[in-house]
Amino acid sequence: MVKQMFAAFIAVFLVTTALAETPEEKGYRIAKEASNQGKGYVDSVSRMKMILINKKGQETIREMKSKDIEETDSAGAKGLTVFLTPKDQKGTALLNHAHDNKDDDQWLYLPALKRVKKIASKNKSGPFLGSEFSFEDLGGTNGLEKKTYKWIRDEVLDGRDCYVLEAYPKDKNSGYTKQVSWIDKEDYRAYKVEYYDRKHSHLKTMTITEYKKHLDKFWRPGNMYMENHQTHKKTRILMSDTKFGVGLTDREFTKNSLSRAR
Amino acid sequence: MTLLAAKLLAAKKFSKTLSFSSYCCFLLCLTLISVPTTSYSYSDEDDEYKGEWSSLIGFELSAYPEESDNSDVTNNVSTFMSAEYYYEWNNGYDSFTFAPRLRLDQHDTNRNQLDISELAWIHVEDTWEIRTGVRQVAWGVTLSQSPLDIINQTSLAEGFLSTNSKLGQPMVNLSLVRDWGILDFYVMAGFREQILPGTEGRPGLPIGVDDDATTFPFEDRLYQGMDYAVRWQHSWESIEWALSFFDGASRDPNMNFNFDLSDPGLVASYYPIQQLGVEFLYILNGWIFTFESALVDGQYQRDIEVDIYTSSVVGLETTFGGLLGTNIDLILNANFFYDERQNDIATFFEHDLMLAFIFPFNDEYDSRITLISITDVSDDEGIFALQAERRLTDSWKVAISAVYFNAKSEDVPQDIRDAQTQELVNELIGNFQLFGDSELRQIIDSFGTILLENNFRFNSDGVQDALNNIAELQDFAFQQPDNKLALLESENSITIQFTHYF
Repeated sequence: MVKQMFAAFIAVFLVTTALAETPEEKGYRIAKEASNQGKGYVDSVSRMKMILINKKGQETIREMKSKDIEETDSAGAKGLTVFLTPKDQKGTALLNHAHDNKDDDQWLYLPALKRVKKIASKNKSGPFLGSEFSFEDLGGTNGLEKKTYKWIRDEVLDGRDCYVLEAYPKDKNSGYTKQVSWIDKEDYRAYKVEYYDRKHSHLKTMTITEYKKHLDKFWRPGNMYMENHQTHKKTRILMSDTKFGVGLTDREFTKNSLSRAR
Repeated sequence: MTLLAAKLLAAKKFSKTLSFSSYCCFLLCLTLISVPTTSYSYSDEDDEYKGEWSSLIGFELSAYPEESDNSDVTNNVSTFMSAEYYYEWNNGYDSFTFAPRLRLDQHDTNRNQLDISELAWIHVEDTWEIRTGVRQVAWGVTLSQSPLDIINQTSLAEGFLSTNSKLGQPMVNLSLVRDWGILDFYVMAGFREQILPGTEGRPGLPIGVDDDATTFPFEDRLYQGMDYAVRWQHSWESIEWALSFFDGASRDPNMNFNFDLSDPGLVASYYPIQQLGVEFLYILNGWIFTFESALVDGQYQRDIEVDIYTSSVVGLETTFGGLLGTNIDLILNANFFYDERQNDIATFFEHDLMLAFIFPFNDEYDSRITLISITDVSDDEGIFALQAERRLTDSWKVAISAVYFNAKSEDVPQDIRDAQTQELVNELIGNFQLFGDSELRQIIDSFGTILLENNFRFNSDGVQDALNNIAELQDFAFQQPDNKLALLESENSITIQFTHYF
């Protein structure tokens, strides 16, 4: 009798867990779906304009162009970014080889020295070029497994049905303990992300607008606005000239190509 | 910055023009290379042809609290300009770069330099690329002073704040990019002589270089003026390494005295050497460990061949992010230099520890403060420098540096001075003997004897001048081995630099 009850209990438990996923499972499923939505673009090139706005509202502009190639079965995702302005930084370039389970490999090209320098990518939480974005924020869709997830609730944001999702970085070197994302149910695009620092206080909010559909399939944001609530500085990133499937190869992401990147 | 130590140990006027014969060989090489033109499918019309100029002009104002032994200059203005034209076609698979640069100095004519840093065509294929023309190549994993970075000659007459002191080197470089790494072959022609500051500049040298006396003891060799090199670099996980071999003229000249007391000067000789280089870099948990070593055979010091030796650097670097809750990082970089030649080498990096504390502010002005100390581990000598830089506007940038030399200034005991003078005199006599001129030898001989007997005290101006020259030479060539910085004792300085970018 006891045995039967126990068996029934197990069965019920298995059925309910299979049908009703936990918030963690749902969170992971949403994050994975969002990540999958972006997959299959093969490669892309784009230009980026970064507007740094200080407390007084003064603006500093940095422009760069980048190209990247998607992860394949045999090789991880790779990206190359070249700085165009400010003029004293022109020609500086950054090559990134992304890895899922360990730190990315990164090399910097220093045009004044004509030298490629391997850099430690561990310090991801620091500001990227004086902006309110960190290296970590610009990491892209790579690294689904670098965080754990939890679905919190559904909410309507600016008229869009969204999932509200929390992500917790696994890496102790991350600058965050928590990221809260608003992801729309239709296309799995993030419209807002709140960042919580190591002290669990609300550090930054990113608002994402001007989504554009490329190749009738891939949504890419045109405008990312990051506001730091602690320093009251802001950074706006504007993406332009984005092209997909331009036929890049792995050979364009070597140390050799970095040293002649323009 | 760290080149400054090397900047001061010999002197030389404008670099001679490229040797004509080797230049012809080089041009021949150019015509022998035929490159297939391939068209590539990915393109956009607006990406097809691109040409662009970028340039900068800068002013450097330096102040020296003290006059030096040979210069009463206490303020100096230096101007520098550089430009780059870049043109690409064939979707970037072909590119052309032209980069001249110019420096003009108020007091030191040796620092007036015009150089072509780059004048090169690069053609890229899927698994190889060929780079032809005047170029700059950086080897080594040590950013500051790599013992195996040999492709380009250096100018030791650049400013303290100058980041690049390399002279353009004509070459053909074939680079293979394969799964097993990157393999580079270099054929170089058109040897560049080292550029050194003059006697009248700050910092300057006690004795100038006799330009016309420069020798190339390998000139009768088959490969006359041609240098060859190969380098293989590869990486696995967080490890990077490279092996390199160089066969050609040493970039580091052998310096000796011209044995002319009336017009003392240094004679530079560029001997043929072979150099084997090993580089290693490993990243673990944000720490970057570097090691590089050059094994050199055929180098000469003061006309005597040096036994095969190694020159190595071990380095460690890490970044501490966000100091005290600010956006300011601290990059800590430590390098230990060790050269088997020890005190015989012409730089200060024989057994020295360099520590750099770099504070990037991570702000919109890219502000940065750097503290550097280079100390000789066997004595208390050291160089200390502070640099600060930031952008002022979109196109102006300012940098300030202060350099302090902590020289061991205790006087050389008289008996050692005498012994060194005797050694010097003997050497002078020995060298004049080579000319078989017995009369001259007698003069020198008696001169040396008088010199010692009278302990440097003469009333005649001519003799006194000659003696001063000997004393300077003595300071220069027969220094106390652990007293190398004495030359720079009075060269403490503050420099402010403004750069405008176009």
